[in-house]
Amino acid sequence: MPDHGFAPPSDEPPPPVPPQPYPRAYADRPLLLPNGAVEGAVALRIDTLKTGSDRYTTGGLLPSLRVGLGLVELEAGAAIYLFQDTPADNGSGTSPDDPDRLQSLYAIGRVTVAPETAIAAQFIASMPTNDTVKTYVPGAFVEHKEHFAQVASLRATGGFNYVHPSYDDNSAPSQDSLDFYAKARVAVQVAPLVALEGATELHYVRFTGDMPYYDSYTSSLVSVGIVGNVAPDFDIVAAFESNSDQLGNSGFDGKAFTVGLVGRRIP
Amino acid sequence: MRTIIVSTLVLTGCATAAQSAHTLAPGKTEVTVAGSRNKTTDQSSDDPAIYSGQVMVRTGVSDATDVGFQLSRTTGTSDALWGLTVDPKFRFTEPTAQTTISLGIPVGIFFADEPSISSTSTAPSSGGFDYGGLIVAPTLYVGQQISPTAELLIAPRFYLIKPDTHVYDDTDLRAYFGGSVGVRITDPQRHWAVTPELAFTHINAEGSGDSTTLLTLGLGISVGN
Repeated sequence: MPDHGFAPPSDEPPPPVPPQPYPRAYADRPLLLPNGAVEGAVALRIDTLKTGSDRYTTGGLLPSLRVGLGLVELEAGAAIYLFQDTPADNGSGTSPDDPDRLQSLYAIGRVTVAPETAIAAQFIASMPTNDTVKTYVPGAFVEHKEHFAQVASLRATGGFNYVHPSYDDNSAPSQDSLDFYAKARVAVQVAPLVALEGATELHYVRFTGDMPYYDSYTSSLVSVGIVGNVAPDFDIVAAFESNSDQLGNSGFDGKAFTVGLVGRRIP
Repeated sequence: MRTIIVSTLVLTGCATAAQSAHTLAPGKTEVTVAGSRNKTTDQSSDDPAIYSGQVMVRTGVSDATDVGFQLSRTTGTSDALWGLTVDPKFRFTEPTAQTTISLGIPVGIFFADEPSISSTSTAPSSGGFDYGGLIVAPTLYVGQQISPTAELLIAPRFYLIKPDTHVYDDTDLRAYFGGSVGVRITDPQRHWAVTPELAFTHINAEGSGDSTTLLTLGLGISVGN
């Protein structure tokens, strides 16, 4: 019988495809964690704001957790106040004297709707540095990650938030607003285990309440970060962010520095 | 403050290149996120550093021509300048040459952006977006391949600015000169690039006859197919 190079027919099922290992290269990682994976992170964030001769510095801890559930991913996190260094009394009345330890909480649920594309709902509750106001922020966004040959990626996000400040004594007029935003993040694998990530985001905020002065405004920031995969399941991350605002009459120089550790368990 | 305004007009017109002297082949697209820090060298000036963020999408349209679209904005939450630029680039040398020479002619408009004031407010300004003017910045790109994954990039450029009365008292055409030096580091397949740059722009101060130099530190990170 001539050999045509074909395997003889068989009723046996094909062998299972072994699962792909979770990439150590940051730029190659999928948008959502795989089913059953858990990732925890903790970061130290230092914010500095300089206006005139006054310099404000605040420090906080940012713990977060992500859990992969197949087509769904859940994420939650918090911002915890650590310290502040502000001018003793500059007469502005804006220096917070008694910050709450827990400054904000957030939760995000992402659902995959197409390869590397997800829609998400999020909720943020922030407790600023006094006891009279809390801000509740429900929102939704769409996110897509495009990969380029396992060494580069583009992550694009667009969405909106409904920002609702709530005053305990109902003394202030409504300052509710809609925040429409777009983000672009590019990550490049400059070494097999080291990635550089640049990001920029734009916001358009439209007040819907009784804000007596502004109807709307825009804002933006730019950041650059580095991610090093120091062990198979651990990353060290560091980032610099600028939200300086120097062209207005009350211009300020705002920067943020973040350094953190990310660990994960992949089934 | 005038220096800030002039500086910002310049930076919205691409003070740094954030791209190769090569042109992208047809079917190739590149997305770049870039940031820059801009400050005058005048020690007596109290003008602060200004930060800007940019997003640029470039695509190849022929063997020796590509075109980019760039959106830029100074960072912050109140007053800002936006730039919107179309940036065609034409390559004059062979694609395999060690030294690549090309000409870019970015043409853009910029807007001044203030918080929009409520109609119930008694504030004098209405806020919102105000047309700021037109900018053209012809740029010569000279790229020297110093290794298979690194290109030394020198990019002298002129800035021609036709302002609107929102930013100047008149609409006379202004011209400035500048340039940038950078290194573009890529992976072997050129799916990504990191481009740190140092740029300068010579600025004549309005009326006083004084001049200053705007120094820009820029970092562009690009990904593409």
